[in-house]
Amino acid sequence: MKKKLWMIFGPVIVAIAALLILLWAPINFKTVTPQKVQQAATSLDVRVLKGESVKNAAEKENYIPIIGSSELSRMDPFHPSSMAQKYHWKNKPFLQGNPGTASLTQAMNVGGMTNLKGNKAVFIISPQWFTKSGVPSDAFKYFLSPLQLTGFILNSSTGDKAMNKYIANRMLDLGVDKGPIENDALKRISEGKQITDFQRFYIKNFARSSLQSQDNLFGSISMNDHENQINKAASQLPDKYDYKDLNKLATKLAAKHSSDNDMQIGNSFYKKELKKRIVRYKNAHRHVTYTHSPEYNDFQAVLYMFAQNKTEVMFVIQPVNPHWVKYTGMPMSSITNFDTKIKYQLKSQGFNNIVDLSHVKNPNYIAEDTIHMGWRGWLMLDHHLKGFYKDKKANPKNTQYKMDSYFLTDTWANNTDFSNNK
Amino acid sequence: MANITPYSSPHYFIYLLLLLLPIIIGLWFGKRFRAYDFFATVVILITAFFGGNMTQGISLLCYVLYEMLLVFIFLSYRKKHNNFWVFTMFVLLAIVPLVFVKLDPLLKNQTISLFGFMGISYLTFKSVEIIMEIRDGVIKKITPYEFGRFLLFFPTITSGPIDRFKRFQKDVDKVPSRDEYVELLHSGVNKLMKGLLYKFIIGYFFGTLLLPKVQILAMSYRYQAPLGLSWWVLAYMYVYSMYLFFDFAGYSLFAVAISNFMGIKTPMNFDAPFKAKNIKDFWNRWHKTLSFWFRDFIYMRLMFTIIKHKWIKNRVTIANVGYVALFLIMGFWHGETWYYIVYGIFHAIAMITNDAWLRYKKKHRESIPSNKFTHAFAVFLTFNIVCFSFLIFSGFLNTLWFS
Repeated sequence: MKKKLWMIFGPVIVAIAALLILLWAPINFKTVTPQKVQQAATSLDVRVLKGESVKNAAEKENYIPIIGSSELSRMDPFHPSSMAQKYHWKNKPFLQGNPGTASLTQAMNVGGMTNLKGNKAVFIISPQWFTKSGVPSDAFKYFLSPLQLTGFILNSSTGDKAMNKYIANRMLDLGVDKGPIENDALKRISEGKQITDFQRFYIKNFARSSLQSQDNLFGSISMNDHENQINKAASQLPDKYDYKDLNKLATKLAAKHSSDNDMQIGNSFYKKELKKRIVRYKNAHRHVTYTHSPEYNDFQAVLYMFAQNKTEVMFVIQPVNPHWVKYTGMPMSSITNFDTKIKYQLKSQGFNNIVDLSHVKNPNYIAEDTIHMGWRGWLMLDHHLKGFYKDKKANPKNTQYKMDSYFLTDTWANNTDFSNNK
Repeated sequence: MANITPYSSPHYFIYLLLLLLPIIIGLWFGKRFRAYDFFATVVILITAFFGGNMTQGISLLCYVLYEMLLVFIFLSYRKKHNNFWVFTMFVLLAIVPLVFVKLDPLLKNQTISLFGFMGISYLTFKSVEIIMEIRDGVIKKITPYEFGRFLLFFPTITSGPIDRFKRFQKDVDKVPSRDEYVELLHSGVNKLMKGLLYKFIIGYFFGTLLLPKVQILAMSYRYQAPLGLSWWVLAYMYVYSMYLFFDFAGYSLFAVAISNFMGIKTPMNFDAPFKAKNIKDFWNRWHKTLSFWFRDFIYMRLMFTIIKHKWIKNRVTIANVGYVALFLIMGFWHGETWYYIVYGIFHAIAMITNDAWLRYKKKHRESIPSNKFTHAFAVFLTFNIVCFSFLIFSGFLNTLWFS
């Protein structure tokens, strides 16, 4: 009988033991190799964004993150990853962002990159994030990493209290639900309290250690691979770097790729997304504004995370295709006002490195399609990145941030007359 | 706290097995603790139906009382009389709550479904079975306790398999011998593990990882060809079919496994359905307890009635009318949308065509080859026809064309 029972339950017991070891034993499964990091740098795989091990390994090598959203997948020859490869930049871009990621997702992402401390980063801001309702709950929940969430909860005793309170509150408002103990901990943080010893013990030793093992084991296997796409893009560039020549080439290639419409929108995007429906957009954005949005508060959370890590950040304000702006009837003042507001938030706290591509002299072919930078837009950014990427370490002089919790308030989110009204 | 859908997450099993432990130990020593069984049922019902605002739980209780009332009134009536129309009325009364629940989505103000709770269909199948078998004289006596225990048997409460009262009664009234129980444990562990593989690994891969991607791709090509067709729609068809099978078969394996731990041999729901050599064979392998229920309580009875009253003479026509009725009812049961109805009609046509082909084959036996290759082709063809029917069933065409 004993043997019979062992034949029935033995395999199950062995399997459970193996699972426990895999998830909770203090073994570091080293699966992140330099090749993996290289692949991850342009992979844009959600697991890379939601994980920690690959990005922290990259921070130890010669990578500087570019944090953004959907524009990062516009991999034409002038995309920073392509340029960095062709012209042998000393440091390479590590892309972090997908269609649908906005400030709050990136705040969690930056918070999880412990090795970013004292290094540099690039952050691309999209005006389209700053809508009246802010980030959609579904999009945020999709990109929310349970691993980064546990990290945030455990770090809540040290970081800036106003920021922790804000993030916890915002996550609960967006309907985050990752288990009863995590939820209770978030609730305490949102009330400005310390998490309990039990919550710390559980989240640290059970939840987080298992998630870390999972990240180590599965975070970088069979990722999306864009290396061929980048190689192909880079191969179209001339051997010698000359801004004027490249500018001409960008114009020429972009014109060729947007031949079937007169709005400088890439053919494939136009055919797939617009052709049959374009009339719907005629004058559809006449009342769009980007100056009243909870996204300003979420964005402030990102700034806190950067400040906490003493990261030197180059902020990029993404351009919009001017022909598209005209077609949709969006008033140019929408962009200008957004610009003024976001720059005020940045500069008044000491984030002074801002590349503003929303107002340039010649905006032809600055975007790849409607609202995503590409071609000449990438090239203009590359021009700034070239110098920034020479050195990976932050210059301590440029990280003297003066954080102000006023930017976490509703008042700021809806303020338009800000310069002297504080 | 919100309702916990049985078997929906791996964690559920840890709590469930802890709850089952006293039952397992009892059966090991040849005992059934009725009081504990009752307690365990209450715990499961509370977690599954009384979370949040308790509406589901209250509906469930009202529903069970209502059906119980019907069954016992009919039972006492049947002891003296046997009128066809009275019987029909009781069957109709028994399915009224389900009809309301199914009609609800059609109405703007959802108010008529007093009995909206997870698993109402499966409880209705069981109640109707009891009423029909009381009429047949197969069930002569049943106590309220037995009725409640059968209806609320928690391993199968939300989605089957649909057991039969007499069969269930045979298992639950006795305690298996030690050897029998060890066999049941063996079968239970195997099915549980296979279910975990099906639902949480393979089903997860197809349903959670692959399906959304394929759907986005299929939707992104919808303006490029007539009817929005692209290769991605075909991919969606196969991915959805795999998801549907592994998710549901996994769930059914859990229900059978947990039943086995409790000493009950709940019938299996799936028997390698994609190995079916024709559509009839498929329905003998796919969601078996449902198709057998429809066969025994709708199709056969309809056949019998038509023959008895000589409404139709031609045997082939009788069978075909039966198929159309059966699958239309199944379509309406799934929900009042065009794609469930079309799904039903599609299967009726497939069954009729299949019968016609089998008759033709029988007549021309010597001239039609039958070998390994024709068998492989039959399996391949059946698989694709079934997957196409699941594409209709999925409702994706509705999204593709009308959203």
